Amino acid sequence: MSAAAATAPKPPIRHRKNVYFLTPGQLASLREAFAAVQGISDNRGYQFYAGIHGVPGGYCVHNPPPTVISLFLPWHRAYLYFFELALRDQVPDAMLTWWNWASPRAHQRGIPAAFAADEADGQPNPLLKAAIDPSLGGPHETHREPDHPANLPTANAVQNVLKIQQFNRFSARLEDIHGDFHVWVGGEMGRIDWAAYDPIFWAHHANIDRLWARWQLTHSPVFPRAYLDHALPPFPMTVRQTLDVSQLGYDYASSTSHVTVP
Amino acid sequence: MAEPLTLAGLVVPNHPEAGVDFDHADLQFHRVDHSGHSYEVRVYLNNHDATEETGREEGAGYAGSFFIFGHGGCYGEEGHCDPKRRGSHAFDLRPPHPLEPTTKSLEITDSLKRIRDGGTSELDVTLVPIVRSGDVPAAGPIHDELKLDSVSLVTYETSGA
Repeated sequence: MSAAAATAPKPPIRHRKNVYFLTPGQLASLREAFAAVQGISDNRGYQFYAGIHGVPGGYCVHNPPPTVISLFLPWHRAYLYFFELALRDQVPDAMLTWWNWASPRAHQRGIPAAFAADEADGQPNPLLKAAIDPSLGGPHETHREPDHPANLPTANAVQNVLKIQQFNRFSARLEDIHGDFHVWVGGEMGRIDWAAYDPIFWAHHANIDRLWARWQLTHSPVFPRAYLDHALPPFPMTVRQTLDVSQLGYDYASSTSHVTVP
Repeated sequence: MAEPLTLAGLVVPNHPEAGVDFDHADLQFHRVDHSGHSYEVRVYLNNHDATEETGREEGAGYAGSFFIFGHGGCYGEEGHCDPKRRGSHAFDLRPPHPLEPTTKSLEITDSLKRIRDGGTSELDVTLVPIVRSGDVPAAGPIHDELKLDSVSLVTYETSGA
């Protein structure tokens, strides 16, 4: 390593923040990034990334048979990582946000305004819904039919999952709670094949990823060794490379604020 | 939507002579199909009459729920959604077919102990599927029943020697 490289400042870790605590600027950046990728039709765009999950790509990992260790968590961590890079290619300071659907506020009010408002600054809200390529033969746009907020997954259920010691059991129970939320939202989020087209998919999976990151802080080993070098198609990444979010350049925070020394 | 399904005849473990008790109990649901609808499956113990209208109270035998996040039918061509059509090959490094049936698990420790302490020696499990209306139109026909192969009751001693 050269002397210059050794002393070069490391880029700062970026934070995915709680949707309830986003500043107006942070939310605006996220919306701007979503709107930008939704307007791109090539492999930098929203249709490309959303289509990786179910239709047409079919790459998502869910409901594993009992004979294998589940790659549900590392696969979705890689998925969010590459999609977030696509957002940041358009708006460099945009970061995915997470929605804790087990929080008291969620249980009172349901889907947060950031994802539920029809408009933002006079424009259609790109976090409310998204178009789906009609040539795929399915729905042409996402929509939601959420159940009552009181029926969202509970904080008690989440706490019980975080106590589980063994990885595959933890992953299975967390995936079950994750499925509970998909069913709760309904609409395209209620189907594996179309779920990733709904913008709230990303806030949901950021919360799932956050819970895995939290579990990792207090449990070891963090993943069964035999699967560490498994690939996570279509991403150029192995399970091992997903295990430390700080090596992917991010962490989870409630909120962030930043000032520069004048 | 699918009718409730009752599986009878699981044995409630009760061995006071052993001097040791289980402290964790799971129901495991084997080879659960997830190719169709997404829905909640409510699990009732020793309540054959449970339906969608049955409450989720302990008194009704409600033990918890698991969720099927389904694929909503098949968007591929003939054979696309049939795991058996893939074939079986030595050194096949591909991940499992996405529609291989899965296993679900539900902890029922407290419910099982209550049933055992009440003197019941057999456990029947009634599964009530709950689909919310207004779902996304399916790709082609979806089989309308809850499909799985079997249910196991597994208890563990996780503390002590």
